[in-house]
This record gives sequence, structure tokens and C-alpha cells, in this order.
Amino acid sequence: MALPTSRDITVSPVSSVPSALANKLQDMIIGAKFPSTDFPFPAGAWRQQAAAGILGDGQWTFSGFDVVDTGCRFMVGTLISSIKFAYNRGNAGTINLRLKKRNLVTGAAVVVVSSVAIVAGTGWTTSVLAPAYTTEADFAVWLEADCSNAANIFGGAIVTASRL
Amino acid sequence: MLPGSRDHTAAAAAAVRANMWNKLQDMIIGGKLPSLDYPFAAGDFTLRAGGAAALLGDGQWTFSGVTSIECGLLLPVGMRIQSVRFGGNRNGGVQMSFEIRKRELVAGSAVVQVATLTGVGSGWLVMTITQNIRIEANTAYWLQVNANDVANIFGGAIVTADR
Repeated sequence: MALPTSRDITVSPVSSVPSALANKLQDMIIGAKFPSTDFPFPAGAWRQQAAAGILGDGQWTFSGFDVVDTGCRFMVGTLISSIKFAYNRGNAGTINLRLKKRNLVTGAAVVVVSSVAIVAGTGWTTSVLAPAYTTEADFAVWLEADCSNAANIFGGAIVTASRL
Repeated sequence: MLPGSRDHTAAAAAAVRANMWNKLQDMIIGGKLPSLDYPFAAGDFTLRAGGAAALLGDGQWTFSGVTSIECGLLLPVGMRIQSVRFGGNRNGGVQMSFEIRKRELVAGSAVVQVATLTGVGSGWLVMTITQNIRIEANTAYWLQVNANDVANIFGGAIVTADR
């Protein structure tokens, strides 16, 4: 949803200001009333970890066990409420879809914040993670699609975030 | 740009000016926010399969032949792209061409070319696609650069967008 497109009320010089308007303005500035916003991550925004992923027109295909990932460039404090991954498993192998993080200051090991394993099905479809994860100070955050079969196709993801 | 400081500091017992309330509403609506430029550096682009090799150098791509590179547009749903400026140099060779493409990710529909431009001129130039494109729900958008000559050089793009 977008911000309101017009004023709730135009206050004339001599009129009083409704208290509801004052409260609403506070709430909107606080951010509690800002709706979630969707951020699409097309196939071209992803990079391959291994060498055998192939970037075609709007999708990745694979020759075997290959991983592609994309950084989530959100400010610290952003709430990632859901991630919708688009793919076609092609009735073969397993596609693992993950949200991961790493503390760049300490260099600690990578942590899987949330994941789902796609082990069945064919045809173009989507799968949703709901990590309810708030991005933290000093952490890099990224999405990962880990494909295991040449039949797998990966199209990208849409991240729903708020408190931007 | 947003203001860098308060227009007016309201004292504890003073009345709040009507035009301040109106201004606050306008700013939250976004009606006073100007277009913003979003630069996409050469390193934001990646090579598509199926064409010639390409090399990412310091702030620019060079090419071994006919090939394409692309860059995902990481803009939120609802934003409006107003123009895209592509910076490059055909360098005496065949002109490059530039595209904005999209794909609906939930349905997995075929890729759609939203806009295209063939480069003109010589020397380092900015070539501009001017078209209002609203980022739609469930849809991914990206820029594609088609190199058509080993001489071509591509530096990046600047997307101008508002709400």
C-alpha cells in the first residue's frame, strides 16, 4: 500500500485542529502506520556461488548442485516479514531457499535465519518464508537459492519489509 | 529534499499554525518529495549466458563480442521510474542497445520488454530512456545492456524515480 495521496483535512487559518489529525500524524511519523512494502529481487540481481549456474532471460538454470544469492540492502532496523521465492523445481531434486546473516565485525560463522526445503512438485510456483526478522547492526543479510538438479529453475524473490 | 531543520518550534502554550499542519500532511503524503536518482554502478551488472565473454574492469564493462549484461532494479512496489540514463561509449564500433524488462514472478509469465533504446553518437555519452513505469506488485524489473561490438564500453546507469 502507498502513503495517502491527499490530505485528510486542510486546516484553515482560523479553525482548530482535530485531535485525531494530530494523533494520526504522530503515528505515521513513528512508522507504526506505515504499511509493508514489497521489494522485488529479479534473477539478474543474484550472483552464483559455484560456477555452473546460468543466468538466462529473467531466470537462473543449473547443471547440478549450484547456489545463487543476493544481498538484502536494507537499513538496520528494517523488519523483513516475508520472502516470496519464485521457481520451478521441475519434479527433480531439492531446492533450499534461505535467509542468512553474518556478523561482519566479529567474523562469526554464517547463520541461517530461516529456510524451507522444496522436495516435491513441478511447474512454476512460489514459496513463502515468514522470518519476522529485524535487520541488526553489524550484520550482512542475504537470500540464497540452493538448487540440486539440472531441472530446477529459479526466477527471483519478493521481500516484504516495513519500518524502513 | 526533506527540510534539514524545523520550520517552526511550537512553544508549550502557543497555538500551532494551521499551515504547519497542512505542510506536515503534505510531507507525509509525499507530494513534496522530489524525484530521486538511483545510481547502478558497473559492478551491479552481471553477464547473461549465451553470448560472448565480457570483463568487468574498474567502473566499466568491456566485451569480447555480441553479448548482454543485466542489473536487477531493487526498487519497491509502487515507485515510478521516470527515466533511465545509460553511460557508455560505442568506441567506434556498432551501437549498443538498452532495455528495461520485467517478469511477473508469481505466475511465471514470459519476460516482457518494457522499453528499449538504441545508442547513437560517439564518444562517452549518456543515452536516456524516458518513460513512466510504475513498479507493479509481484513483478521483477531489470536493466539489460546489449553490447554489439568488441569496441563497446559500458559504465553504468542512473534511474530517476519518484512515488
